[in-house]
Amino acid sequence: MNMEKTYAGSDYTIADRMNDAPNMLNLDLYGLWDVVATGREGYGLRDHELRDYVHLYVKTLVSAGGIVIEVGPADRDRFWVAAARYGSLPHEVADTILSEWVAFGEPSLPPYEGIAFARPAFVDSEDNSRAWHRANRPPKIL
Amino acid sequence: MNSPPCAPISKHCGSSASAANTRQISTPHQPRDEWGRWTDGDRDDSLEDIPDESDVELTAFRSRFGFLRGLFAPRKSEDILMPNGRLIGQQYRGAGAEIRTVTRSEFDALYKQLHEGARPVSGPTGYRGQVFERRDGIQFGLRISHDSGQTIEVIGGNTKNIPRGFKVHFR
Repeated sequence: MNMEKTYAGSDYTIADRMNDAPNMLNLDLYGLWDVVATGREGYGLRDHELRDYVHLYVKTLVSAGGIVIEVGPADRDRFWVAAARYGSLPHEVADTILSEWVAFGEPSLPPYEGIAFARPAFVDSEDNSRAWHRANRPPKIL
Repeated sequence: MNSPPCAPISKHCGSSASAANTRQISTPHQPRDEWGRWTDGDRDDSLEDIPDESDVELTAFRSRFGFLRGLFAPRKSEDILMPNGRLIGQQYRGAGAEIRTVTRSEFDALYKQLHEGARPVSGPTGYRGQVFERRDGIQFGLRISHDSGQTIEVIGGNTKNIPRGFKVHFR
């Protein structure tokens, strides 16, 4: 994979994105849907290059301290819960997720469904609490 | 009996067959283009409130004053988010190219423009904010974060030119 390939309309390379992975986890959760979309649509990757990208990006996110999370039950307070079944070793997690995604036909994924990556502290944070979000709706701007 | 492992692309864990997960990832009511991106299909919102042709008076009214619709129609999402073909705002250091930062006043103006003519819709299960659908089919979300403040992001719709995962913050 060409790490110097740039994101559509910018000079932001794949190498830049991998370097920024730790910071992305500081900003918010990062979805597998984003991993796939940035590779396929942002960098225009296809086939084995896209698979390599997904594997590398997942591995990088986990190496940077991310854990795999998934949407939790709607009747619980937490939007997202840890998905421990993917393991914790970066390569192991990347292998499992890539093989599942390939088995499903390498689809583009709808946002905020399925799995994502976040720092472990996110799971118990207020940002992940339905109660907190109910109490802190964005102010009306209109 | 042990549950089968969940696929990373499924909404929920615990289905008894992978076929169930396959169904969960699709959005049967919303067509996709050849790349799997959400599209509007053949829907034409511009016609949604046009009266029955048999109503002569309303048809006459439309023919006289229909031009006004163009004057008051909300701007297209792409024109708002990508003025002159360039993504709004700046890429902040350490964030992806699809994550943009604007000033507070730009953020408020952006939300106002996007919100014009938009209606609230239910969002994805893991989304922690409010989702709106614009008349051009773009769905955008507004959420507030304990640490990062407010974020506007494109959730769905025909995002052919707007990058998937597009987010706007302010500082």
